[in-house]
Amino acid sequence: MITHELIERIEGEAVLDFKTDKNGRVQDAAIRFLHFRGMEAILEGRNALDALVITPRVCGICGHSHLITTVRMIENIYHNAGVLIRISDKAQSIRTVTLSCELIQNHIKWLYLVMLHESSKILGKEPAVALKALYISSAVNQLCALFSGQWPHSSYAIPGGVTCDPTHIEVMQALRILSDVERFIDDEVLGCSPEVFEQAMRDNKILSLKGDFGTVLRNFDTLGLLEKGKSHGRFLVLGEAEGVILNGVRNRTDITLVSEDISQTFEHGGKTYAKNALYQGEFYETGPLARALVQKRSGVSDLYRTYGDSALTRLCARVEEMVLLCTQVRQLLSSLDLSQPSFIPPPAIESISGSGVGILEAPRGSLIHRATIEKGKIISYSIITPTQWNLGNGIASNLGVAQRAMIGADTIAKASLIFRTFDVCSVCTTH
Amino acid sequence: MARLSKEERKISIMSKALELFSKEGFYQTTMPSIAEKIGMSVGNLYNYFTSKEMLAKDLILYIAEILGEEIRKINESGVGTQEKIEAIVHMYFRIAKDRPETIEYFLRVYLSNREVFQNSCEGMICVSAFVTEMMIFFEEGVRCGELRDQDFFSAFGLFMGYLGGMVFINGENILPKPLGEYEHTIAENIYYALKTR
Amino acid sequence: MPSKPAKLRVIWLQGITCNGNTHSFLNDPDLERLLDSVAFIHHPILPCTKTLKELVKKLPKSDILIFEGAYRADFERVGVAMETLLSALASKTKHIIALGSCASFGGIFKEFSPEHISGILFDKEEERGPLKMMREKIILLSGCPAHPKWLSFVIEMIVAGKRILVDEYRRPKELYGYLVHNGCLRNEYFEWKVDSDTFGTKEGCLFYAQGCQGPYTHGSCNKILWNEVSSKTRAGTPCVGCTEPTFPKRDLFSTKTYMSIPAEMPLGIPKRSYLALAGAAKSFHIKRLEERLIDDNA
Repeated sequence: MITHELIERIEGEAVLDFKTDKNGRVQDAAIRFLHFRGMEAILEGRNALDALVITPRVCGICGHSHLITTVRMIENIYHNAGVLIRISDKAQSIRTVTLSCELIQNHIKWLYLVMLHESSKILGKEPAVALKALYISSAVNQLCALFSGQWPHSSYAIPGGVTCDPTHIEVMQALRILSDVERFIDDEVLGCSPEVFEQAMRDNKILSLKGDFGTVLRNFDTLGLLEKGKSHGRFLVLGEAEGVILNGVRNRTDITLVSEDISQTFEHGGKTYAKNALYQGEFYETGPLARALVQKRSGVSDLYRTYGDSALTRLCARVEEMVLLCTQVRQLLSSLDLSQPSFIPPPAIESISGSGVGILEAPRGSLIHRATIEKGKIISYSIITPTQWNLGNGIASNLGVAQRAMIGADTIAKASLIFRTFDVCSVCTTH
Repeated sequence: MARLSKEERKISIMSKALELFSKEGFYQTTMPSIAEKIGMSVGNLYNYFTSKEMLAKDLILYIAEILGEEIRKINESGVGTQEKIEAIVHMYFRIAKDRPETIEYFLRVYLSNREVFQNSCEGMICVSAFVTEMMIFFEEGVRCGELRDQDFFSAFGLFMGYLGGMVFINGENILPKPLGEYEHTIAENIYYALKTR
Repeated sequence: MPSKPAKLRVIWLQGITCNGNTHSFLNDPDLERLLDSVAFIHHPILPCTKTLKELVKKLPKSDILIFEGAYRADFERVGVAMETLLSALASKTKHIIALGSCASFGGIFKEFSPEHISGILFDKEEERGPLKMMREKIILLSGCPAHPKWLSFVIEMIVAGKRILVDEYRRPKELYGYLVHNGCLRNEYFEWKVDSDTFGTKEGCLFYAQGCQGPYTHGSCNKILWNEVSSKTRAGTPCVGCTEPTFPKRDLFSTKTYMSIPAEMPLGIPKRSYLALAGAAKSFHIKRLEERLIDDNA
C-alpha cells in the first residue's frame, strides 16, 4: 500500500511516500520537497558582498550558518585570486561564538519542539508549549546578538573580520547568559551535570537521565525505537575537524569528491525539488552524529559501538554537542583579546575575479557555498545544504540516509518520528 | 531722498569696501580709509561692522550668495549639463567684467589671506552658498550620466581653478583678446575634461 | 470572579518563506503573556489545534490571520494553491497581518520571479496584491524579519480593541514613524559628518561610505532593540533597508555617491539644505570625534 504522509513542523513540510506491507510495516519511503525559492538565481548578477545579506534568508533557523559560510567563501575567492586575507583571532573567535549560539538554539528547539513534542504525541500525551525551551533559546539568540546585532538574519561577518567592536560589557553579559544556558541544560535537559551525562553514555545508563532528554529517550524506548533508525554507517564532516568514515575507517576528506545528483528533481522527471548530495557517489550521514564520531568523542563513540547509528546514538550526539558547544563558547569568550582589530580591510571586492568555496559545520551538518565572481559580481552561485546529504531521495539499490533509516519501522508514525531524528529542515533542503 | 534702511546702508558700505579691499588688499585697507571713502565717521562705521575682520567675513558671505544665486538659477533652468557649463562660465566672466571687485576679492583677499578668515570662516562655511550649488551641479551631472563620477574636489578644482586662473591673467592684461571670446572654448574644455567616457 | 475573556483565535499561514519571522517571533521573551490572550488554530512550529492538513481542509474562521512569506497564486500548501487558500482564510478573519517584508512587498523571494511574486497587499510600492479588496483589515509589519515586539504590539492593540494608526503602506505609525537612524549610537558622527573609514569600529557614521540606509529607512530598530540588546548599526553593520518596499537593493555594503555626494538623501531633507549643512559641519574638525571612543589602555 502507498501512503502519502505530510510531515509538518520541519521548517516547512515534506511529503513521505510510504510503501507498507499488509501489517503496516514500512518497506520503502520516498522523500519529497515541494517548495523551491531559487536562492542561487537571486544571487547571480549581484555584488558578491550582497550575498552576506541574501544567503542568511535561505533559512530562518540556520541563516547565521549561511552567513558565515558565505563570508568564508568570499575570503576563499580572495585567497584563490592571490590576495592574502588576514582575520584577527578576535574576529575568528567571535564568529565561532555566534555560530555556536545558532547550533545551541537549534538543538534546544529540535529537542523540545520536535522530539519531545512528537514522541509524546504518538504516545497520546501531547505537551503544552515548551515555553522554558523557547525562553532559553531566545537567551542564546540574545548572546549571539550582543555581537551580531540581531538573530535571525544578521550580516555582521564580512570579508576581513566582523563589523562589531565589542567591549567587556558585551562579553560579561554574554558570559552571564551562557551561565543561564548551562544551568538550563544541567537542570532541565539532562537533570545532571555534563560529567554525569558523559559517564551515563559510557556506562550505557542513559535511559535513567532525569531531565527532559531522559523523557525523550524513554518515549523512544516505549515505542521500541531506540535501536531502530539504523542507516549506512557512513559519516561525513567537511567543515571544521573534517573527516569521513567508511566501513569503520576514518580518512581525510576531499571536497572534489562531492557531487549533486539531480535525477530525482521535477526538472528531470522526478517528484521533488531537492537535489541529492553525494560523496564519492554515495549517500553519507552528516551532522552531530558524524561530527562526534569523526572527532572520536568518547561518550557518543561508546554508544555507537553498542547501538550503531540508531535513533539512540543520533539523539545523544545532538544533545552532547549542545553541552560541548557551551564549553567552547565559554572558553572563547573568556580568552577574547578585545584589543585586536575586529576588521582588517581587504582590497575592494570589485578588483577580484575568480572562484571559491566556503565550508562549515551547520546545525544539521556540512554546508557548502561555491561561487564564481567577475570583478566582484556573482556569475554563478551554488549551495549544498546539510539536509541534502541526510534527506537524499535514492532508489532501492542506493537509498538515502534517512530513507534507509525508516525502512523496517512498524508503522508510518514511527517511521516519521525516525525521520525527525535527523532534524529535518525543508526550507534549507531546496532553498 | 528716501532714508536708507540699516540693511541697505550696510550693503552700500560693503560695495565700497569691496572696491577698496580688492584694489588695496586686506592689510592696506583700514577702517578709517573705508569710512573716508564712504564719507562717514569711523565711529559710525563701527556701528555697522564691529571689526575689519567681521566686514571681510560678511563680504565673502555676500559674494558667495551672489554667485550661489546665479548658479542656482542655472541649476534650475532645466538645460543639459554642457549648456549649464556654458552658462556658468558666461556668468562668471560677466561678473568678472561688470563687477571685477567681486572676483578680485575672492581671489586676492579671501583665498590669499586665509589667516584672517580662520576664526569664523573655517573650511567652506562662508562660501557654502556657492559651493553647495556647485555640488548640486556636479551631482546632477553625474546622476544623469553626462559627467564622470569622481571625487568632488578633483572636479571642483578643475572647474573653478580654471575660471579663476583666466580671470587672474585677464586682470594682469596678458590676454590678447577680451575674456568673453574665450568663453566657448573654455566651457568646451571643461565639459570634455569632466564628461563621461 | 469574572471569567477570563475568550482568547483570540489566530491562524499563522506561510507563503514563500524562510521561516525567519517565525523564529524571530519565538524570540519574544513575553511569549507566555501573549499566549494568555491568543490561541493558535494553526502555527508552523508551536503546538496548535489544527495541523496544516486540517487547516486546509476545514478553512476555519479566525480573529487574526498572520501571513508570513511572499505570495504567488500557484504556490501550494498541502496541494491547495495560495490563490484559493489565502483568499478563503482571509475572508473568514477579522484582522490580517502581513508579517515581514515578503508578505508586505514581495521581499527577497520576489526577485526570483518578479512578475509572479508579490506581497499580499502591495507588490513593491504598488497596491495591487491579491487582498487589495480587504485593505482596511490588513496591517503590514515589514522587516526582514519583523521584530517580535512589533507583532505583539499589534496583537495587543487588537486584543484591547484600539485603533492602530497606519502609514501609506498600512504599517503602524507608532512603529514605522521612526527611522532606523533615530536612536543610532553613531548619530553624533552623522551630525558632524565624520565617516567611519572602516568597518569594525565603534566610531564614525556608516552613511557616507558603508551603505547604511538608516537615515531613510522606516523602523524602530534603534528604539525597540533586537533580541533586547542590539541592532545592526550598534553592531557596526549598515542598515540594509529591510523594512522598505525597495528591499533588497543592490550593492548593500557601499554608499552610492555622485561626485562624493550620497545619491539618496536622509528622508525628507532637500538636497540643497543637506549639502549646505554637511559642508558647514565638515568644515569643523572636532577632535573628540576623530579620536577613538574608548582609549586602548591595555
